[in-house]
Amino acid sequence: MKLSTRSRYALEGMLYLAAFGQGGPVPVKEISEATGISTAYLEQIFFLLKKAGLVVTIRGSRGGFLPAKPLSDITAGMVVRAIDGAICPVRCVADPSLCASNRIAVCATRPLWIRVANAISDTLDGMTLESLKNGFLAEREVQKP
Amino acid sequence: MKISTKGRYGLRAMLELVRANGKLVSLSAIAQQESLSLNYLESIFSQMKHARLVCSATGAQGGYRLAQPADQISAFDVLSSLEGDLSVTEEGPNMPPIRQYLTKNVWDVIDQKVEVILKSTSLKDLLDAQQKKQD
Repeated sequence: MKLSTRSRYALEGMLYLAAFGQGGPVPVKEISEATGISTAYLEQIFFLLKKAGLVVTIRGSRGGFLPAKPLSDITAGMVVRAIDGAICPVRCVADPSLCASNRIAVCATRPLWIRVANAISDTLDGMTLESLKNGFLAEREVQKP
Repeated sequence: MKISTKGRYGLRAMLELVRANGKLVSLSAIAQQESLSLNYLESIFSQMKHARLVCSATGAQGGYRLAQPADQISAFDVLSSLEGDLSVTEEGPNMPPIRQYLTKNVWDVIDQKVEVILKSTSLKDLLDAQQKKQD
């Protein structure tokens, strides 16, 4: 099953941009301080997010990353896929030729893995950065003393 | 949720026991049928026996069979006997607020949905679906 730590961190980074960026670029160092993820790891992650067209870089002393599209157009599914590729619990779901034993025609378990993969994809695709940001900020508001 | 090779192989091996319909099946027969290594199967079956999903008989005609009817054993039972915790996340204390929020609202939600699917799918369901496809 592949929902890597790296893709979870990617969503944390994106949510940070969404919640605290206020339309401007956020330096990786700031995200690192808030999330506890190392800057080197975050840079790797943001490189992939940029390649996938989800963030853009602003250079300069006040530079950093910002979302490349409206928050309502970026889903959690896009973020995870930018890092992990296709969402599948088992490799053969995405590519039957990867079946280790070449028994795809008779495999009784592959349909189960496909259902699991679809459930994960649907859940992640139904969550936008906009809705995650609103939920996160609302919860923070409630927790304030 | 995470599903390792061990879990997937265990599930496939269990389906061989379902197909045998109560007869004892030797691990070497499963190894051959499913192209899995015998050593690996031994380790998998010792864990599933520990979880009381299978019972074994020793001797020349020995082997394994299901400890419960095939419609009473879910995919979740098999996977969790082999993987322990199926959760995608490692939860720790003092998580930063963003991680805490995403764990509760994204990753735990996924874990729950996957758990529902795995718990509602029995070994019998898997085999029935396959046989329907072949007809």
